Order: sequence, then structure tokens, then C-alpha cells
Amino acid sequence: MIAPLRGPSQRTSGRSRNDRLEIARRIVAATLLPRADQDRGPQVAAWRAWLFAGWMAITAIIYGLSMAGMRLF
Amino acid sequence: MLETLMSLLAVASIAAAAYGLGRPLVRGLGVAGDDALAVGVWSLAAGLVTAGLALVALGLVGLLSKAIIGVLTLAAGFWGLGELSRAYLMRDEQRRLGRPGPPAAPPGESAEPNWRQPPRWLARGLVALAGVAAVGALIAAAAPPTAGDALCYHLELPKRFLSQYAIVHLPDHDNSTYPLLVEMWYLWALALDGGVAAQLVHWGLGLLLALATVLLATPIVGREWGKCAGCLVLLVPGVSNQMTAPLNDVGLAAFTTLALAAWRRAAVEDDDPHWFLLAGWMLGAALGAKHLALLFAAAAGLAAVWHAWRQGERRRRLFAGLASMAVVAISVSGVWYLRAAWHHGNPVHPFFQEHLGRPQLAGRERPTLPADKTPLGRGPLALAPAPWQITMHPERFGGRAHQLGLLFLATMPGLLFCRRLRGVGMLLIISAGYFAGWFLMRQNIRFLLPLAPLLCVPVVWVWIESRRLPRAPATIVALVSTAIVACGAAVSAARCTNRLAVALGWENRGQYLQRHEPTFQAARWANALLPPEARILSQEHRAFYFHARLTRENIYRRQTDYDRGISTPDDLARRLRADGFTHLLLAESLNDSGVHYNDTLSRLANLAPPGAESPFEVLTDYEFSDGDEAVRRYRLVALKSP
Repeated sequence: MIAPLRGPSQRTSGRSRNDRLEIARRIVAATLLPRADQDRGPQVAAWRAWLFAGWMAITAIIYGLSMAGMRLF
Repeated sequence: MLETLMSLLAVASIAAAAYGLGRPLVRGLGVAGDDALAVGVWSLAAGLVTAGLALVALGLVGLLSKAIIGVLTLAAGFWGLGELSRAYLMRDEQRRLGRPGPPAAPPGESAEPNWRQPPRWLARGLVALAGVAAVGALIAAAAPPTAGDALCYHLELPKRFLSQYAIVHLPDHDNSTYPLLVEMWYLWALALDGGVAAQLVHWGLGLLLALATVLLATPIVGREWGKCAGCLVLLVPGVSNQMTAPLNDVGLAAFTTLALAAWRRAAVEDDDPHWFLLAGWMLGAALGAKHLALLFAAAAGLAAVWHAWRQGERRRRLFAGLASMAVVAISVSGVWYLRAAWHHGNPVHPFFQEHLGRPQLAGRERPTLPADKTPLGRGPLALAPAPWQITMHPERFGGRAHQLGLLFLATMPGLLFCRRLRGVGMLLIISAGYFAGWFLMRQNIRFLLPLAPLLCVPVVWVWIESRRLPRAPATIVALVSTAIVACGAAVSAARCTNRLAVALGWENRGQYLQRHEPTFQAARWANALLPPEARILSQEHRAFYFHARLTRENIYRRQTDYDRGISTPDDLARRLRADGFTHLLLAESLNDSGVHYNDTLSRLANLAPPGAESPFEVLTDYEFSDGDEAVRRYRLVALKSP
């Protein structure tokens, strides 16, 4: 008679402490490490990038002042 | 707290009943597939529209009773719970049987472009901020309604319809022949609970708007970035503000977005043609919610025709789909426009009354395009700075509370460095067409809410593309964007602070209204003292808390010119008694802030010389200070018997 083989143990519910640590480790790694990205495309020219960043910063400042009651433009 | 829980339970019943009505419809159309989010959203939306039409049908035959509505809600609600249980059990069964899913991508290689996945910190941060905004709006919505327009007609009309068991024409109420589908859902909530439940319905429509944005954005930027777009919609200050009051702009935006999302599935993604029918169902709901949907339909319709024309072999099929969509939309919304045409000779009454209305009213109606509704003017030179003006000075365009915030003005120029993405251009074209129409008609920023979901998708695309920026400017863009969305959440959280106590039951709803609603004291007096058949002529339009019938003085004056030939209070009292009035509600502004009332009635009522016996008896006389420093005086006055 051949002894029955035990199948791989399957947990039906719940997560072990190791699983939770693994999940936490992956979250931290995914947050901090850069992702391989082949679809990024060419970098935007510096002057255009600064133009956009400057626009955002200036509109934010003017908007903040407008909401505070100062009428600039 | 119990009152709040009961209101939440009423809204949950409405949602369950809507799902129960809509799920078979969506299943019958064979759309949405296995996508749980899509199935839920489309079922809920389709069910809401179906329920609204059922309430209209009940109203037209005079069967709008709380008992009938309650029984139908119970039946549909249990059906909805059954559908939910069925879906849960089927998913559980599939999981247990290990049904094979789509083939997994090889390690290190994604089936989709890498940009389809936002960074986790961004996705989770946005969900957290949107959650803060939604919870803030929920707390604010759990307080008794005090929004002016809501008390004037969004809640007042359903209350009147419910009390008369029918959708009736009210000649002394301009709004009674408007498209009123959203108000039908408020009527449903009023029948089950009250004003707070109605307010929570509009909060729920805000969530539906966010989910509709996810569905609209998914085919363009992917599901994960689509969720970011959905979160952004909730962080628009005007959206979270509207979710706290029972108005109809968020409901309109939800259904225009759903109509566009369904149309895209059929026409752009070349999916099942039944999507056209669902798109028509949703567009019909939008047209049934507000006249403004006509403007959206025109802008989106032109874009759809242009798209169909360019499709070559598919052209004929797309035009047939558009025609079927239009037929369904007209069938769903037509009742409101027919009703207005029947009573006023103008399907879009009171707009374009000078051209479409009956001749006897010509010249008496307010013009459709008054100059005071277009602070920027209508010239082409004024259109260019309009986005800047409405962002920086929203108080000129309907108030800061309704503003769209800085997000769109600050981010949209970023599209100039972005690569083209299929689908974004169409959204921008529709937005531009709608914005131009808005500019030419009425420049109120809350009428721009249907654009918020359309513009959130390009914003997300700019965010995706900003990874191509050099590090330093990319950091600035990220910091400013973070500040903008964080402010959106903070504004919503701050807005609810003075309503937290009443929402949690620490303060009585009556006490809250006594402090926040100017008409509440007069309404309590009137409800306690006046017989049910009393009729009040009122300078104040906020009528919801009065049990007696209120007639707006400005409409009565427009219809009768009653003030002509009145020289003494006795003349006035005689005239008003002859027209069936028993009481007056006089309202005056005591300073320059806030609302201003036409003083014709209070001036005529004050004509009595000192010492003479007045034909009026003052029942209550009080002053009320608003949060915006406006001080008003109210007098509830009885007309003495001769």
C-alpha cells in the first residue's frame, strides 16, 4: 500500500505575520524605489519645463492672495 | 444621532431600490460585462432614472402618496439586496472554483504601458484626500438644509407635490414647470424621511459623479489613473460644496458624464451598440435634471457628429446609434418639456420667453440673457481671460463656494508639453464648446460643474507626462499640485465644522435651524398658529419650512399689478383678502450685505398714519443675523377680518 501524499498546505483564511511583513516590505519598496519605465518618452526641454513650473507656482501664489482678499489682477 | 441614522437608512433604501431596478436593465442590455465597478455604477444610475420616471408617472395620475412610495421602495430595495447577494455569491463561487483569469504578464513586464500605474503614494494619497472631502461633505449634508435655492424650490416643490399627491402646475411658482427629475429623487427622500435625506441624496449623486469620472477616464488613461481622476472630482471645491445641499448641479454633472462615458464605449471603443441606448437613457436623465443639459448635449452632439463623419465605413452605423440615443433621451426627458409647453407655450420656460412664450406675457418676464448675468460681457476679447477671471474672482460669478478651484487653470497649460493621447482631444473639444456656450449665456460658475470630470482626465494626463520633466521643475509641479488637492480636502473638512454637532445628534435639528435658517422662527409660528387653509403672501422665497401655502410676492405682482391704485393699508388688505390671502410674510434687509428684497409690499403695508387702526396684526417680528453679516427683519402679519 502506498501512503497517501500530503498535498501542499493551504491556508483557508487570514494572513500570517510573515505575510503581513512581506506586504509591508513591498509597499515600502514600491514607494521608495524607482520603477523600470520604458514608456517614459523623451525628456521635456528645460525651458518649457521651467515655464510650466513657473506658471503653476505663480498662479498658486496669486490665487492664494486672491482668496485672502487681495485683488491683484 | 438617531435622526441622522434614520436619514442615512432612507438614502440606503433608495440606493438599494435603485440598484434593484437598474441591475436587470443593465443585464438585459448586455453591457458592463464582469466589471464590478461598472456594473454597480450603471445599475445604480439606470435604476435612479427608472425610479424617477416611475415617480413622475405616479405624480401625473395623482398617486404620489407616502404609502405607495414606501411599499414600492421596499419591494425594489429587497430586489436590490437580492441582486447584490447574487453577485456576491457568484463571485465567491468563481473564486472557489478557481476560474482562470486573464493570463498573467511575465515577471518584469506589464501587459499595459508602465504609465498606466500611478505611484502608490499618489494613488493612496488621493484616495485619502478624496475620502476627507467626501466625509466632510457627508457631515455637512447630515445637517438640516438651509441653502436658499433648495428651500425656494428644489425641496419646496417636491413637498408641495407630495402634499397634493400629484405633480401639479403651480401658477405662482416659476420653477414648477422646470425639468424636475432630481427633485423627484428628493420627493422620494421626503416621502421616506425628510429634508436631510434629500440632502444626502445629492451627496450620493456626488459619489456617483466621482465613479462616473472613473468610468469615463478608464479607456483613456487606464483604471488606476481613472481612479485618480475620480478622486480629483471630489476635491473640486464646487463639487464638494454642492454635495452638502439639495440642489441639482452635481446630479446634472453625474448624468452628463455617464452619458458621455456610455457614448464613448459605443462610438469610440466600438463596443456593444447597446451602449447607445444606455447613453440615451443617461442623457435623458441629464436633460430631465436641468435646462443646462441642452447646452451640454449641443456641445457633445456636435463633437459626436464630427467624430462619426470621420469614421468612413462605420459612419452609417454611428449615425444610426446617435439617432437611437436621441430618441431614448427625448423619451426620458420629454415629459418635462411637454409640460412646460402645455402650460406656457414654451418648452424651455422661462428661458427665451420673449421669443417662444405666449404673447400676453411678452415683456413681463425676465429676459433670458440679462446683462447682470454676464459679468465679463459677451465679446470675444472677454472670452480669453475668462478662465483666469472665474478662478481668481469666483465671487463675481456666483460665489466662492461654487468655485472650480485652481487645479484646472494651473495644470491645463501643461498639455502644451504633453504627447497626444487618444480621447483627451475629444474631451477638450466638448469642454471648449460648452464653455463658449456658458460664456454667451449665464456666467455662473456652478453651471460649469459638468466640465469638472471632463477636465480631470487631461489633468491626470499632465500629471502622467510630468514624469518627463527635469527633476527640479517636476518637484515644483508636484508640490503645487499637492497643495491644490490638499486645500480641496481642507476646505471640505472646514466647511462641516459648524454642522458636526447637529449631524452627530449633539444638537437638536430645531435648535440648529433656529440659529442658521432665517425663516425658521416665522415658520414655527405659522405652523403652530395658522390653519391648514391659510395662504401667505411672502417677500421671502424660502418656503420649505412653512406648512401653509406661500405665494411669492414678486410673481403675484407680475401677474396682477396689485400695487397699482393702492393708496392705504385698508385698500391693500381688501385687495389681498379678495385674492384669498390670509397672512403676509414681510422681509427687509437692514444693511447692505446679503440678499435684497423688493420693498413694494412692506412699503404699502406701512402706509397707515400714526394712531390709525391698522388692518394688519403682527404675529411675530424679529431680526436675524446671517453668517455673511446680513441682518434681516421678518414680520408675520395676519390680515384682520373686516
